[in-house]
Amino acid sequence: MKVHLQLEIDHLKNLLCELAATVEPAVREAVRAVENRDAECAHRVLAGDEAIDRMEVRIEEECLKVLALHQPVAGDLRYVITLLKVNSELERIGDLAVNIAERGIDLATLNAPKETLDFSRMVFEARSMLKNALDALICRNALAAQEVIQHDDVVDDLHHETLLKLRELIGRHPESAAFYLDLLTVSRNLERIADGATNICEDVIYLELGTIVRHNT
Amino acid sequence: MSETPLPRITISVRNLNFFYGSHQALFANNLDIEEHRVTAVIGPSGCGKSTHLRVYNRIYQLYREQRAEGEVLLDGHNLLGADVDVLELRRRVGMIFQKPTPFPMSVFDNVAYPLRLHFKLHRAEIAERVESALRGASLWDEVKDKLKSSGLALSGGQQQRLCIARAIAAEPEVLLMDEPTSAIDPVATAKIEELILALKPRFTIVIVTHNMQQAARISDRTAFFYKGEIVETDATAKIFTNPSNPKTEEYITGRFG
Repeated sequence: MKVHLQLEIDHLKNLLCELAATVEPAVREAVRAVENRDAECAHRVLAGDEAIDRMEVRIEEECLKVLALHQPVAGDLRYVITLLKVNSELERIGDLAVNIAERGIDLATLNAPKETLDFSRMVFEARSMLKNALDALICRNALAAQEVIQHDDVVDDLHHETLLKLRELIGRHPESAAFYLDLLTVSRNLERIADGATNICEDVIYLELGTIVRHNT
Repeated sequence: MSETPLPRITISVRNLNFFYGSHQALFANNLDIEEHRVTAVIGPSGCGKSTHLRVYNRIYQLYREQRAEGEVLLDGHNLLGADVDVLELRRRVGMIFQKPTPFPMSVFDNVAYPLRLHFKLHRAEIAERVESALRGASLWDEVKDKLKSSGLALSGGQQQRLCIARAIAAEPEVLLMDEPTSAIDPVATAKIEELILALKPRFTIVIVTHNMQQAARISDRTAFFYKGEIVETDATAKIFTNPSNPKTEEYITGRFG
């Protein structure tokens, strides 16, 4: 039994959990900054991104070390590769949270129009997808991962609805175009967070079943 | 993915059982060895890898108490049959062993040995084929000036390549390699591995190895043996990324026992 490799893999897993536990709250805070037009909260998200970047680099280095020194195969190989990919995905999701937070800062400087938009459903769906994707990874549950992937359409549809509504609102209230464009950016970033969750789930399916389901229609 | 045409099967093992006296070492082995591919045979010590390999050229017959049952078809003919010319079989199915086994004679004579044994050739033809075999074994440049020196005077890696040259001089169809690099250093091992890949278009190669990375690097297909049974055979890339049998996974990830 390769105890040493198992210890290294457990260590990698812990590091990734730590990263996930930093990225998830970043998304939550970024959304809150938009909802409450709270610039201070948004700045905290921006400041936190550096830590996420550092963690990502460290995890990548650890993964490369394990690959070079232990040359894992089969399930071990798939696990290290999956952690490596999810690591990048989480860092990207951290960047999306920063994008959303930046809109929060901008929104705080703008006057809110009378007619605005309720994001709560989309926020709920995107955040649930991210949480469920990370749960599927930790529990190595391909079935749960599949369910998350199937849910991606819901967020895509919500984003499309938002786009149509904002178009209409900009038409009616062109003076508030800057405000609505910020909201559009927020919607697009939420949709991309859901895509990130989907990517993580595709990696979980590869991890568990050894099949690459990406690009499957 | 586009379907590639099915490869030709050079050796087809059907329900092979093997006995050392009353002890059964192989149990109902079934395996197809594809032409011009490298097949790696892996498994823990004592699982029957070498025993299995030794059936292919009936070298086990040198020991009276050893016995094989079942069928091993070489190009469709059962090589276990009573009518088989064993000398000709061993020309067609060459073997390289764990420790290099040069004959106590010159480099030239080592390679000329099978030529004189199996073919009636003129002196010039023999010299030509010796050179060609030494080139084929990537050894010519290193020994062309000492063809008359003893084969035993070469380094371990060179000796092993000399044995490969001797084996391919007989123009076999199949080369069996029983842990051919376990007694030589990493640089010499790399040369042998490159040589194996270079020989693949001309020969069908079956290699027993304890080195997982080696099996992964050089083979197209891998067969995993355990306690005399073949647990799993598949494309090497599949075995080392996503094996079907949990026992294979346990073995190749080092989680055995």
